[in-house]
Amino acid sequence: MKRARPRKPEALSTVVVVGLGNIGSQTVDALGRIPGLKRVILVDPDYYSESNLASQRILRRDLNKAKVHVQARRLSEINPGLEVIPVLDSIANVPRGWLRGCVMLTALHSAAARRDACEAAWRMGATVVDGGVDPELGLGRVTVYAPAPDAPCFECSLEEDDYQAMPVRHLCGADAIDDAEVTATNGSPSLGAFVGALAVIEVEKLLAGQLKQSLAGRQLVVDLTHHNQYVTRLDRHSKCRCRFDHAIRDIQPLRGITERSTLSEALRVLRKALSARGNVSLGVDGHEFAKALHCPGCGGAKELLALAERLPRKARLCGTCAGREMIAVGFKKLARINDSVVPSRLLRCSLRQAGVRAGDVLVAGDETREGFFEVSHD
Amino acid sequence: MINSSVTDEILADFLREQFVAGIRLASESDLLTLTPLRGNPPSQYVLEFRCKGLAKDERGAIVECDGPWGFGINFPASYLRGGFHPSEVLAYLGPLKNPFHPNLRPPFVCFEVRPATSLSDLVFSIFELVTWSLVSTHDEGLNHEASQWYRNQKDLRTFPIDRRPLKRRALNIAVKSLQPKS
Repeated sequence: MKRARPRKPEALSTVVVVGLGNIGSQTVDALGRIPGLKRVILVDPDYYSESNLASQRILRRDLNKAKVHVQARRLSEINPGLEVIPVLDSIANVPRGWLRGCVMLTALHSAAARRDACEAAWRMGATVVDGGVDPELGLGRVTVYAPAPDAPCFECSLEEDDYQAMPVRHLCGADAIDDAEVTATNGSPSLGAFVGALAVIEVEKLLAGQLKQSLAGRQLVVDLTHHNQYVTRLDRHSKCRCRFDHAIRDIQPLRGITERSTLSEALRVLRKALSARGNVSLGVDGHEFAKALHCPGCGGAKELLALAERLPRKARLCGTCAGREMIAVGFKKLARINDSVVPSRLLRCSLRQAGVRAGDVLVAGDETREGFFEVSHD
Repeated sequence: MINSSVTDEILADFLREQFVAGIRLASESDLLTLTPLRGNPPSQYVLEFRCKGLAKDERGAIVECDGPWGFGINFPASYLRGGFHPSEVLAYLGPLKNPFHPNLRPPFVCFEVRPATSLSDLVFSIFELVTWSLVSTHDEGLNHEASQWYRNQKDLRTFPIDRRPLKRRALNIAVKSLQPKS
């Protein structure tokens, strides 16, 4: 098992598995045996618990361990030549450059997490194989979203009610209750394994370049109670209904900027890359820079300049409120930074210190142009 | 493009509509000043209410204040699509350092913000919060002392603190000039 970061994107040789529960844990054995597959990135912020024993492909010894580490070990045992990268975090925090040229397999029960995963993949032009189960009705589902002009995305099937039903987060209360936590589907392991196998078959087709034979733009639902199957074509919806703009990023290579570069160096290189005359600003696709963290408990503040969600948990804890997590207020965040909005001393910090990782996509522009650039790995 | 988070045309269309509606609302109110910030269309606003609310003075006494009460509204990139924290959208900006309300602890404002809630609805909700029309003591709120204080109030008829409407009501009264009798 290798824990290094992906060196560089290799077309269709990487599978990213997001969610290692009822379906995701069942996909690992088959993924490890796909010929020619070079790299698997496993993404899940959770740990296995007692309640997962009945529905997921784990053993008692795996309890209380990070899901990504358990499944990474299994993958390495199946195929020691495979590069396996466990990411103990949510997909929104994975540098988007890592998704370039990959096939993403999502097995998530939260609509918000599926939306985040599908958005990140779409932006990078990566195809998503999304699996789901309905244990009560005995239904298994696999949908494939392949980014293309006029192709449907995950959000094209959402209605107004679905958006309104997205989890709402709260600040009030002693422990900052987060309704975003949703209960797992607790499907049977056999149903999870069935959908997992269907999903891996689609992954194999996509890795082999068989887009037409895949379910791209379609959804397969198998009714295992009544032995029926349904294939439905999905349509792109107009922007009045779908709230996702379907933009695929055209990412330019950017030499000379790594995690160790300072923000001011990055601005200088980006200005040159854009051939810009005016003041260039930079942001990170999918993230915003926080200028401060505040504690909802005591109101205390800590000044900084960083992507708050990338800071280690320890750095976000309030010193006076018994370890309560501090939060960045959106009004005080910056989508783009440069020397006219940030003191020059803060621009002397490295991209790494600001929470920017190798593989992140920088958005840079001035008044007239805009470009997307990936932070180099070395 | 500095500070612009709006590379998304769908969000940009939404923000344009909010800007028009927000400016109209502000022009119809004596109690609200609305200042757009950050880009075109604006993705941030500073609101200033000149209405009655409660705050703590330097001696810790709860006093009625006329404000001004400053708030920030930020529309994050995911605003139409959900999954954001209320602190991504709302912030208390001052200038009073100790506003007194169960759902207010500078710079945090706590109420449920659903995806694509309009700017006007947010403005009305914040106004109701400042004037104590909108109060939630669920889980003791953000300000536990204010929650307890509110629950101990025996006469809730004193709420809201300010009963004036945010928006001026139009009166359809014909006005005639009187001609002096000669």
